[in-house]
Amino acid sequence: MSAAAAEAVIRVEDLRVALRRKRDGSTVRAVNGVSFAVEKGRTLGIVGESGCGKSTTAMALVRLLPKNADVGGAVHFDGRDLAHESPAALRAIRGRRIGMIFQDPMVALDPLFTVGDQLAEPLREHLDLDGEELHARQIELLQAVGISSPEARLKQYPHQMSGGMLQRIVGAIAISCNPDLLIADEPTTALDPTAQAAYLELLERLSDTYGLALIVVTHDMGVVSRICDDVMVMYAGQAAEYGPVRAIFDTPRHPYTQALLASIPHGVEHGGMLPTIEGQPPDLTALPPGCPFAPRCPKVVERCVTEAPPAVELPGGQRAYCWRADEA
Amino acid sequence: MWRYFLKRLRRSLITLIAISMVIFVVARLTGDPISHFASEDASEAEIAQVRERLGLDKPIYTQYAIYVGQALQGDFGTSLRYDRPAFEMVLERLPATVQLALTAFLISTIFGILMGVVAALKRGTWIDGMLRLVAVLGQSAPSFWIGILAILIFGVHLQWLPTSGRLGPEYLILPALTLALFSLASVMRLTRSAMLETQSQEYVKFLRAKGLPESQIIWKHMLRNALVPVFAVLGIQLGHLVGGAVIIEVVFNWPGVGRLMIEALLNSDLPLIQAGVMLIATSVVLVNVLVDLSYSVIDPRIRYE
Repeated sequence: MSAAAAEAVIRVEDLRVALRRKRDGSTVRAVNGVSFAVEKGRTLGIVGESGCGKSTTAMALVRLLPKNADVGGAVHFDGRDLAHESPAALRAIRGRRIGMIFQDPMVALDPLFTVGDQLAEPLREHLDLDGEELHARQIELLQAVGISSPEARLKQYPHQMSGGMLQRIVGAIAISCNPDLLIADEPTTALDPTAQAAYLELLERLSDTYGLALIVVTHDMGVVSRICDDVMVMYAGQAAEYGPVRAIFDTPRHPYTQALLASIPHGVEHGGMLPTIEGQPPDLTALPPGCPFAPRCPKVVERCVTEAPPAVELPGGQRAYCWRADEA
Repeated sequence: MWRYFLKRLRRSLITLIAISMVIFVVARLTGDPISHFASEDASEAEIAQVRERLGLDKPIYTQYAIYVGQALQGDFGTSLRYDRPAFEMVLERLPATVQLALTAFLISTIFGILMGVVAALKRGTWIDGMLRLVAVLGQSAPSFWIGILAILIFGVHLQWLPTSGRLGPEYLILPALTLALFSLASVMRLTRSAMLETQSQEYVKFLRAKGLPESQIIWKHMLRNALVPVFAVLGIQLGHLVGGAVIIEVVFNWPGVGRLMIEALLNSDLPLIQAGVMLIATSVVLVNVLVDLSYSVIDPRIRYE
């Protein structure tokens, strides 16, 4: 891994995010020591159920977090540590070097401004484009994300477009300044199935064409298998398993990954019950000392409850955070 | 845009017709109008003669038609007290009221919005607390009381500003500020809450993800979004201002339509009251059309509905 990590566009080490709650003084430990890296042209999927900290992890990379959030650890990007950069330095990186795509395109754009205006903003801010040059770039970007009659679309408002089209616009804005890294937070969740497939195709194409490093946050294993090279499975603010998608889908070593993969519906199995994972994720304000998955784990042993699991490196670059990862 | 404008204009016309009917009916509810026009010791024959001259012997719908016909030509009859055309008298006073109401409108809109934005950005600090205190005062204290207090402080004790009449621009300051206070407080409170609401919107987060300067996010995007609900009530605010102007004009001896109306009311000068009310109502309705149009300019979603 170390050789690959040297060329990584972004390398995250022991990332921690704690949200202080004013009301009762408690601290929500949303992300607890997550490490991963993404190389140029590769796609990492961060997957897990709601509240597992996958979106918070993504947002923490560029510190788009609520004011009550404390970030710890290191985010190495372009020779700097983003976790400890000034707000001004982060602003210069956001939109310029790191583009972002959000979940719901219907609310991601300001309803009172034209699509063209909102697309022009980062181009003016980061690249100082103006006049003819700016216009040409706008058209080029809309074509790059597959929007027909771009000239007319520029003058339209968000409410005049469909969700799928808006998400393409959001994508165009995200890649407008030729970023090195694109972070997509549940990019297809709000789209209908046809638009979903088309959008994944678009993300794949953009990543290939521009050599982008891409991080896709999703709860959908289908999305992961469709476009990701690597995957990090998260549970209760921690990584459960991390590595190449093929290896993890073929030989999942963490019981949570195994359960997650088992609960995917496979084609036509009428009448049968889908396997589920019993129990609830732990309270993030009072995490247990051991493995957070232990209370729901079918393979739990005594040690799991008392001691945090180690990172077990497995052949093929796979890494599982489990006491029993070595058992086949 | 034009279709919306025409639709809006048509609705205003209906409103104005309704107002004219109310004025016409209310004037007759206060008793037989003949009692206003004929002297108390007039004989039956004299009364009948006056009745015929004024058209009061005709059926009520005919009377209304005549009334509207004359009103459209600016003829609201003659003031009983001053024996001059009522409409002309009201028109003479109109500039003073327009000046007062418009100044107060501008003050309350501009400063209300600015103070609302500042309060939202400084939420929870002493600045926010102070501004909200001003808002509560402005909305709860009656304007005549504020006016008298202002006269006492700035006119009598400090002797900074004149308190009575309309002899120069400095005469406008106290009445305009007093009149503006109530609207200013509502505009400020509304702007504050709307700004706070936009802060948590997803598109604001996306603007930050685009790496735009915070100033651009606040003053271009958040403010414009916050102004949508604010603009929606500006028309109502203007109605408040015109109504409030009646009181303020009396307190500060401002020679506007409002004071004229109060005098006319005390004198039971029916034609003068009718002319005044009709003119004020018309101007409020027309300004509301303008405000609504500006609303559709600020929010593109309105234009296509």
